[in-house]
Amino acid sequence: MRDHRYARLVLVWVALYLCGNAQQRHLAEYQARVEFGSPAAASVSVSVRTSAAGGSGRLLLAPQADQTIEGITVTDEGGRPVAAEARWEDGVVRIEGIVPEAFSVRYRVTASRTLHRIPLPAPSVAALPQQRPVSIAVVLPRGHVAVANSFPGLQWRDAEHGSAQLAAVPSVIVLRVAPREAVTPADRLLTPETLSTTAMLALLLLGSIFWIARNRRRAG
Amino acid sequence: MNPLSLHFAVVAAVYFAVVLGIGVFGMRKTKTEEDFLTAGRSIGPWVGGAVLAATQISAGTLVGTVGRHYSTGVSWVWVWPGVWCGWLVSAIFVGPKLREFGAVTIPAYLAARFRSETARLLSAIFIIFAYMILLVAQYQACGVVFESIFGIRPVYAMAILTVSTLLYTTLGGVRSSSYIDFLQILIVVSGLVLSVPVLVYMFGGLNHAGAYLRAMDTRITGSWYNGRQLFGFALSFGLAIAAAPYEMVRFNSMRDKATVRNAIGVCFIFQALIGSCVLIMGLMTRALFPALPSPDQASSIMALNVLPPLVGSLFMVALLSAIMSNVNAILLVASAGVAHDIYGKFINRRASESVKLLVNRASIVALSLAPVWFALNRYTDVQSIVVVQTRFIASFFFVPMIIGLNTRGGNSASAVSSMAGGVAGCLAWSIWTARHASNIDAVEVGIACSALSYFAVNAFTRSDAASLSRPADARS
Repeated sequence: MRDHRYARLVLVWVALYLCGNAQQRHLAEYQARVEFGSPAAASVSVSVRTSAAGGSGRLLLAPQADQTIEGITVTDEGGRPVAAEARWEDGVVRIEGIVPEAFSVRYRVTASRTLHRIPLPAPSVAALPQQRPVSIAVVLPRGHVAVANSFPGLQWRDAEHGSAQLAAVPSVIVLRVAPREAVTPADRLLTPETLSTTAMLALLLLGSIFWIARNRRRAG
Repeated sequence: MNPLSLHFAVVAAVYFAVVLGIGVFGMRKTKTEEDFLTAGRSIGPWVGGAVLAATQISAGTLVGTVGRHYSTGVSWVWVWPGVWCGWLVSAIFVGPKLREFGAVTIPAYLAARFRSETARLLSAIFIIFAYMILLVAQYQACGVVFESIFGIRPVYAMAILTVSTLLYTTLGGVRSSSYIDFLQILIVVSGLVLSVPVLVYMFGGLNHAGAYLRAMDTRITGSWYNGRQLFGFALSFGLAIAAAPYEMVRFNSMRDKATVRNAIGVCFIFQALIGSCVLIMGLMTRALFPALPSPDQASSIMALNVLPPLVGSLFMVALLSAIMSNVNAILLVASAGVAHDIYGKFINRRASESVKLLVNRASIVALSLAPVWFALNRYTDVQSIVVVQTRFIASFFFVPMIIGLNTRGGNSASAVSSMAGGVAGCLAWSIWTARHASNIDAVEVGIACSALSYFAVNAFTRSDAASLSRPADARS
């Protein structure tokens, strides 16, 4: 009788230990594919897998003021439609009612001029530390190239196919696309990346000059 | 190794080679223990202001505060006025007077001012305890940064941090680190300032980011904390800044009283700039990466994925350098407590300068290893650890420092009871609030207990403290 009581205590202890050490719900896989139909439009397909069902069941998309988002569909792992509702509010698209642990979202984003920022749906659940479960693939229109750096930084397999592997889901892809023959050296040089790098180096140089001049003045 | 990690490795190698060179230069000029601790009292207002800002702005700001803005939004910004008020108190009531008093360490000051060797011992022990908490935050931040850059386990990052910091701290002391701090603040400020337009551009504007963050959670752009909570945080930071022992060691390295006041003014400029940039950085990183594994990763994920490779790498190097600078400042203060105030006064009173310098450097090595275990366990985020440390520092030192420097009364018993009362109140309330919700912050209880203990004991004991002028034995 007494042994049974001890056994029960041990079982309760083990159960409490396992509950305490259970891993939090996390992002297991996120694959996004952005395919440009033209420099002003792209279709986006995202598949998400989390470690367990639940969470807020909400995704947000942040399109720019000159962009429209159409044809939003949400399906579960088997391709069946999920009863999710998409609505615009204060310039943000809310997709609500997504419950399954694995689902896909598809939509088409169009800009009035060139499509420069492509909004991505970012789930509220994070990946585990030291893992990079987020993969992004971008396909450019035929005959077009990416001008300068992108966000996130893409590795280009060829001029039209880029990809990235990340630790966290970005809410936007920033990419400047132009016809190959229309790209000039100025397009590649006068970008925020090169300007900020130049400014940083200039500041460090000026700071160093100030430092040396100050020391010489004090020594002299 | 991915291209971003490679960029970082090259930039870091160049930077730390420069740091090592300056460290060796500093060692050649360091001859006595006082030289080691005060850099020969030769630093001017601009370098002094940069040094003060660099000493305070460390992993707590670049990892912890960015992470706090990332997770809770705008309202944390109200902690900054508390920090600035702390600097004002320091500029008027603490810094210049302490510089004039001339004590090498805070325990030395308290011992001379209150004619109390017990106050010296107690304050030395409290300094070591409080700064070990802060070291945990710095080590944890370092682990997070390296985890983000290289995907390596935090224990290796902490080993790298310990070895590199030991190298330049034990080689040069304050003289070498003051010049490194100037270089570091230059990189931090330019990296922060440049990151803001890049981040805003990437998301497509501040208004657009505001709408997105509001849709995520209205508290991010509104009020995450209530007024009482913010007051408690601001008070902790403000009072801790006003009486921060490692900032005070920096005052001692400046030329004179006027230099201290001007340096604090310069420090304000750097901090206002950095505070604004850190706020925008936290918010924009939340907009660009809504769900990170830990808010502490916000600054490193931002630097590696959003900024251009060179700017991002330099920012990360500056961040690591800020951690090193802070670890260096903490180790200097804590090891001075061991060598000067515990060993030199209680263990071997006849120790020569060279023996004390040796003990100082040996204790730096020992103290740098102590917090590693706590940092590896990651009990909470970096900013929360910093908040705990500021509460204790404020509760230990604010009352005896302010009263000691600005009044004539007081004695050994009142100073000792003030410090002991402050730590007991703060500790007891921290334990109580871990189980029971309360709107009263532990720092408020700590300060109240400290002040009450001081005045109560002072009322019933004879005042025998030194006058406000610098006593002859203040340096000893």
